[in-house]
Amino acid sequence: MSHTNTPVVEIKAAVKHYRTPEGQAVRALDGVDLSVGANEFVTLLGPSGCGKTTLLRAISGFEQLDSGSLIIQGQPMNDVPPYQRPVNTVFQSYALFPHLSVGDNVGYALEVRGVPRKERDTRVGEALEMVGMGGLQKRKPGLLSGGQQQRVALARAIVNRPALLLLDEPLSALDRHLRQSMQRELKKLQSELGIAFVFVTHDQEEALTMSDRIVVLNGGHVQQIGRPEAIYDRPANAFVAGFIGESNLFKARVSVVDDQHAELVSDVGDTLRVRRGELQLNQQVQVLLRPEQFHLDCPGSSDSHAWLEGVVEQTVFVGKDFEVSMRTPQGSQVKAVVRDAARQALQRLHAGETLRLWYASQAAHVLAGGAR
Amino acid sequence: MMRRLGQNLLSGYSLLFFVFLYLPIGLIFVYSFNGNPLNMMIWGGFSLDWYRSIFGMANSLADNVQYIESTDQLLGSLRTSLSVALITALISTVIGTLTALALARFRFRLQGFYRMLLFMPMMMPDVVLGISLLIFFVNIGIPLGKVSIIIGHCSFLVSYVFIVVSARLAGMDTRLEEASADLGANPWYTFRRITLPMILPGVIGGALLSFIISMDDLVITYFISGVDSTTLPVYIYGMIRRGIKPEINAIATLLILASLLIAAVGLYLRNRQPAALKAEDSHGS
Repeated sequence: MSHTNTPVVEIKAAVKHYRTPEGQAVRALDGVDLSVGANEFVTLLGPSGCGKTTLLRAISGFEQLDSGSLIIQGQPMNDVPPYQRPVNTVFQSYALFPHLSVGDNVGYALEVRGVPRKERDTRVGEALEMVGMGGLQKRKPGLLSGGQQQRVALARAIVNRPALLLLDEPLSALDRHLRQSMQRELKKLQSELGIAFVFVTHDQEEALTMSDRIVVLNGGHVQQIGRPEAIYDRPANAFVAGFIGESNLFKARVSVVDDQHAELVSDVGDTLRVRRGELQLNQQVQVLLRPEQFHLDCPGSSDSHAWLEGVVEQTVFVGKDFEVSMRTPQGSQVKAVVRDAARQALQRLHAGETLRLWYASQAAHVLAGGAR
Repeated sequence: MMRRLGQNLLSGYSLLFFVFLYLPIGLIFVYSFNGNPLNMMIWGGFSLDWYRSIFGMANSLADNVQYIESTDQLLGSLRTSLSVALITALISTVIGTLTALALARFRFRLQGFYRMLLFMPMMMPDVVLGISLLIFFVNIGIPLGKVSIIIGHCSFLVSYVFIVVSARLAGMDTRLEEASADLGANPWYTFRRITLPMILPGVIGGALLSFIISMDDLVITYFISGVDSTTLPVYIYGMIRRGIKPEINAIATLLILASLLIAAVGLYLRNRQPAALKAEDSHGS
């Protein structure tokens, strides 16, 4: 895989403190390691205040790390000012220069480097063409729509072919429809340009659709780094499980083990069945069941499947799927998503009905530790 | 019915208000064309002689009238005022703008205190400022004259420029400067190409404001001007006691026209800017 080659960016043990106005120290980054390979699309994902923007600004040079090393293309960058780093940024607010035309905005990085007018015009034209904004060079940014400004900001950041493009929640100001088409375009642009993207977002769906790898951050710590499927299917801890996708999380203790399976009892008394794996008797773990892992009927041998039974509290049709909310006799709430095919079984989903939800025992993901 | 009456009263009141405000200025304008050589408040026919007189052209009216002051002294004070105001505007605009930039862009100890110090000269009574400047100049041995007036004016006009430029800087997205640095521009390039054009309306506004205030200042200048460096306001003030030369009406009229011109240029520059300002706003967040 390409990102196993020499990394474009390598961050080791990055620490950054802030002092609040009250004088308290806040750790925005608390020992973060990260490396981004050439041509890789990496997303920094986390709730606001998790340190993702701080990490991005440390790479672009607008924040100084308290300790730790930052290497871009093999060069130590800790003490290099922003204007000498081979990195460009697409800002959340776009930050287009209102007094310059679109063409001058896009050509700014070239103008700064003294590229002759003629070559500059050609390259500005190409960059605008790439983002679908050809021929708008003469306009002032103030006369463009939000989506157009976004594209101009993108063209401005790629015109000089940086080693690395940083994107700070660039799509958050766009409406849903525009955001989705921009997501696809960004992904396409990234593979065409062949430059590494580091993309910051708090939108887990955006992260899952676009990224080669996702870095989940919380409280200044890296919670998990991995491919989107891996992060979704095998979250490293309860925070990741809860932050990405819908989840049913049970704190449970292993009560019975056999060769292949383990039976667990949750803290409120639900019985769960998972693949044995490394589980030991009486071990405290957490069990994750995604809503879409449930079925209304047993899809295979009853040996490899298990079920949870309860009373339906609410069923909502969301187009294609039904979202079912069920409560077990022990009091746990279980969220399930069942597909269209089950429409014949709709009467089983009425509120107040008793429902049995099946799941494959190997689909249940076991997280270490009971702490949350 | 009552409503119409109320509206009429209101417009009548507004009319009176503006008459009260502008009639004295209108009178000066009218009497600058007064051909009466003896009493400038009694209309004696239309004449352009006062204007000819201040531009040094021979004319019958001014030559036939004997006043204590000479027209040369009057014109000399106008020249002093203009050169003082020009130099003051230049110096205070540069210092005020740089101060505003420093306080807006850097974080340092006692920042709030410095900001307060900059507001102080605006709130200080002119008399206090004038007398303290006088004592200061005398004590450290700066002779009273044009230089002392310029230093004195700059000491409080820097504050005015600072406030005007600060307001402009506060409305400017700091991300623009970051974007410029991000695209490879060093701090000086960023200042020249991004920051300065963005705050230019504020800088020009501050320069015009300090020019006009310097031109107009009487109280402070009265304390710190020397014998042969009288500014126009100080000269006119002195003239009240010795008899007013009718040329003053002509000079006042020309000054009003010049002020109107400057204000018009200022407004034009401000109206040329809205596209940029709107863009700033729509960036939001």
